[in-house]
Amino acid sequence: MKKIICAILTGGILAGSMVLGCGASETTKITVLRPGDQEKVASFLEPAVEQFEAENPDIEVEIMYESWAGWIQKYPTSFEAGTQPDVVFWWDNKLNDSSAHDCLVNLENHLDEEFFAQIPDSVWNLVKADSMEGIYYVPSSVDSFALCYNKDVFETAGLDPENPPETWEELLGAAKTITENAGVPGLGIPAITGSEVLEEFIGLFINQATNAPVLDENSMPLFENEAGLEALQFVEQLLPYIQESPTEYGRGELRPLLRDGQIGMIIDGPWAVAAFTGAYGENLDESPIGVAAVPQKEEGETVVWAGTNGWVATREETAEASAKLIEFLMSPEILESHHLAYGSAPLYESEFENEAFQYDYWRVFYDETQDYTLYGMIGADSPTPAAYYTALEEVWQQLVLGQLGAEDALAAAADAAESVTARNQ
Amino acid sequence: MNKKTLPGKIVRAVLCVIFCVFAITPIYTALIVSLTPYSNILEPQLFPHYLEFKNFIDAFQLIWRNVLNSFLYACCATAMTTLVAVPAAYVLAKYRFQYRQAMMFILLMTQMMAGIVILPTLYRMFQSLGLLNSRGGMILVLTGINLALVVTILHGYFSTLPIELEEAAALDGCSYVQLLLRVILPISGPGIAVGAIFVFVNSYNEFVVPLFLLTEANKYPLTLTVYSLLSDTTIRWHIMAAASLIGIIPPVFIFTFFQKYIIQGITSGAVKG
Amino acid sequence: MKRSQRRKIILSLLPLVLILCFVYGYPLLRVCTSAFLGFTGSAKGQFVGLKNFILIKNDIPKTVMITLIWTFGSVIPAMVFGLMIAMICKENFRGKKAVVAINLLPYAIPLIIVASCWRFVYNPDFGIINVLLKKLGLVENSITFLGIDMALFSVILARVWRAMPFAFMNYYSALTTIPQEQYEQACIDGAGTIQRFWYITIPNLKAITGSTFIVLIVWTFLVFDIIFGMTGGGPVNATKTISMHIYQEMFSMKNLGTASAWSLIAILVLVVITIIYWKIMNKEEKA
Repeated sequence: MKKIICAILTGGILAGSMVLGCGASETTKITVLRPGDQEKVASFLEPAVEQFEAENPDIEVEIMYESWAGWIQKYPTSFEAGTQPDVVFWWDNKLNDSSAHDCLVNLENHLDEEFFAQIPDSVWNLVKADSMEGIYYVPSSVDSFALCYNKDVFETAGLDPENPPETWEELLGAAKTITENAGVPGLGIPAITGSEVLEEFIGLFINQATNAPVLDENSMPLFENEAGLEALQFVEQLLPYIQESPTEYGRGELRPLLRDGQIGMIIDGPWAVAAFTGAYGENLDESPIGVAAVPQKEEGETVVWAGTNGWVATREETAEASAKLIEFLMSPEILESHHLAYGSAPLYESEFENEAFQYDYWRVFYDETQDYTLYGMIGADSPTPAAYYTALEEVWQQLVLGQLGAEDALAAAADAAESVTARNQ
Repeated sequence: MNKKTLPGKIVRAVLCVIFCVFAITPIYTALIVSLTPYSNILEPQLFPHYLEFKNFIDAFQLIWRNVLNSFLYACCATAMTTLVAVPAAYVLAKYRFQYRQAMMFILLMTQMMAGIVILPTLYRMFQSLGLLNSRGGMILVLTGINLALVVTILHGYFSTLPIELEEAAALDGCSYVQLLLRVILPISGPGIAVGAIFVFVNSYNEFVVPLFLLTEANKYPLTLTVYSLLSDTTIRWHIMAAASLIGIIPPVFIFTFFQKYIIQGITSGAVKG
Repeated sequence: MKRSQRRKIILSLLPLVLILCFVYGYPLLRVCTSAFLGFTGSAKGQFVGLKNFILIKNDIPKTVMITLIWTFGSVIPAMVFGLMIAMICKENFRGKKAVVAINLLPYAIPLIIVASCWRFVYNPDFGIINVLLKKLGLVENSITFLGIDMALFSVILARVWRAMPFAFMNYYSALTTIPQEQYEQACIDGAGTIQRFWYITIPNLKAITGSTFIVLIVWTFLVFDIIFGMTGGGPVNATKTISMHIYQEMFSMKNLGTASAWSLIAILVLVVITIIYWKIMNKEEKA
């Protein structure tokens, strides 16, 4: 009897391994998600995937679609349900996110040195999570802040539209002049609830003042000092010259205001460009909208806030195929079409050969990315990155609404960040 | 009583106008925005200045799959709820047994319970059962949420039926299932209709349950897509308005054409239990 | 006979009971246990006593206050306005059908679309109220409806809009059941409009007022969609009710323990209200 069972078992195992063996030599199926407007995503990703499948007949790629807002809301569920796509366009600060962390695959062994070398060091510095060894994330678009301003408003206010503010002092001066002379708010501040915009706006000034990220590798605040206070005091000085009720505006709500000359300046990323080219055509250099490098603190290094998105692979089983796809998506032509479709700034110098990137305003974003010290999204070393945004947002909203002074806000923000960290210990 | 003095009539007319304007304003505003091209979105308008119907086409292309999803969930939940509720409501109305009161209390309890308090744990439970992002799981939860409502409506309805019906049917040799199918169902049409209409509209309108339980955009009901538009960083007001207006057509249609049932439902089902 | 009847009852109720246990029973049980378990860091999976409640302790007073204002602030006006339209529609007049249909309309709209529509109304740049007020010259700067001072009021108004039809319908059908003779008798006795309203209408509406009030309270208390869609709980937590906290603890803090702690508080309130309601209904049935 035992023998028979043994024979059946062995036979079963043999048959099973044969089936599995066959499976391996057949095609690997992977799914890929680039969140965002379906039309735009499809316009670059569909041809790219087609070409990729032609070059790799053993890999089959299915494209998933999802809006950014939907994905931000849904990614925890998606990962926890085990339904996440194999290759995802991810954030640099969500590598430790407790929903996704265990799924992310180390790509170091799947890709070569040369591949990694094409991305500038400033960007690699920005996206490394100190708590993780290896490379889990390949940055693909780097979006830094620039100053967008309306030249018509500048003229009405008696400012030189070709000389936008370059320092904090000048920014404050311009905001004041516009408010007083042009009758519209000088600067727009995005402070809407439930979004990351306000933290990033204030984070920019904190980064510049402290020349450090907002949180350290243990997710403790790095801004509770003289420099941090200086940053908040500067924001406080700007408040008389911003739009009414800042908490009702996100970046998206401010752009049409700038476009129509109802505010003088905003600080926004390359995503804003599309809102302006839609009205004024591709050549913004000749339009009433000016794009300039972000004003810097008078002394110290040139620092700018930059957020990145990039590719991650989420399943060991399909890691090989996923890495191949990522490598392909990072090849210059594909990356260029990706940036073009989505209005991201160029990352490789070669992209400037494309006509669409010939305008000067793209140089602003590109130069910042290559040459400035970059600090970006917060919470990269924490399992709950979103919690820091929520906790800090509450404090920063009170600051921009004038309910908290700079000193109190500084202490409250440090407390808020520390208590989030404490909860995860 | 029906004789009104002139001042009384004027007061009535004024109040009517005020209330109707209040009821219409949000939808009217959405209509204005939905007809405005994005480049003119900031323009103050009391009456529509533009007729950009393209917005509706764009919005429709964006959401038609989600509307179909909403219909699928709502129809399945309606069918399942009715199927489960009819026999349960019947025995609750017609028989006196132990725990009957307890059952009624539990039903009331579930009717009072808002989804948000149980969804976090339901979410974890679905996660461990592998039911997240499944259409079946979604329909099951919609059914559970609406069961109490339908049972209560039908309970009220069945209580009014004479017990002789059943006795007569038993004499004719009808089994219990036959009794339900052949005798009770045909004369309970209006009661079931009221219940079904409410389940359908409730399920179509449901937002919190899919927000927690679904993960893939191709399975989203309309409400989730509207939220995606609402919370987008580059907020497209015109598309959001057009999508909202397209989305409310089915429930508004139902409420207008089945008004009698709706009023019946609100007063009998919800209030008495 | 007895036995077959019993089987009939059990079989008829079984699907109902199973589904309710699945959708409500087990999750509720887990709420009760999760509220006392740790879900983050080193406390993962351990019994932590009241720690979850201590973590949310500081938020409780303000949140309860906001939730109370939100609930009563929207239910009471909704009922008053509902009664007013019902009184108007009690009599026949030209266009009555349209008035009823229009005032029933908001009840059909999904809550999340209620949020999106009201955001158009409140928008500081093109929102219709601000446009109108500016055209009439009543205000110079836009009213910031979703700003810090007005946000709670504004979401409440949206809720009033959505809840009014429910009160309206209840009063509307209750009014039609008041015997006409009572009014006629009062007329003969020389009672005026106000007296008739006070001595006949009001006493007859007592029961329906009680039940409508409780039902609306329960259903408003934990409304999530409207606030989530309009303000996300902000600015500076001005509109953060208990349901907003549950969601945020779950997905931003990723802590099922504190989410369950909030849920448990809400559930206790619900149970108390339901028992009161149950008592009232049973008394009425017996009377």
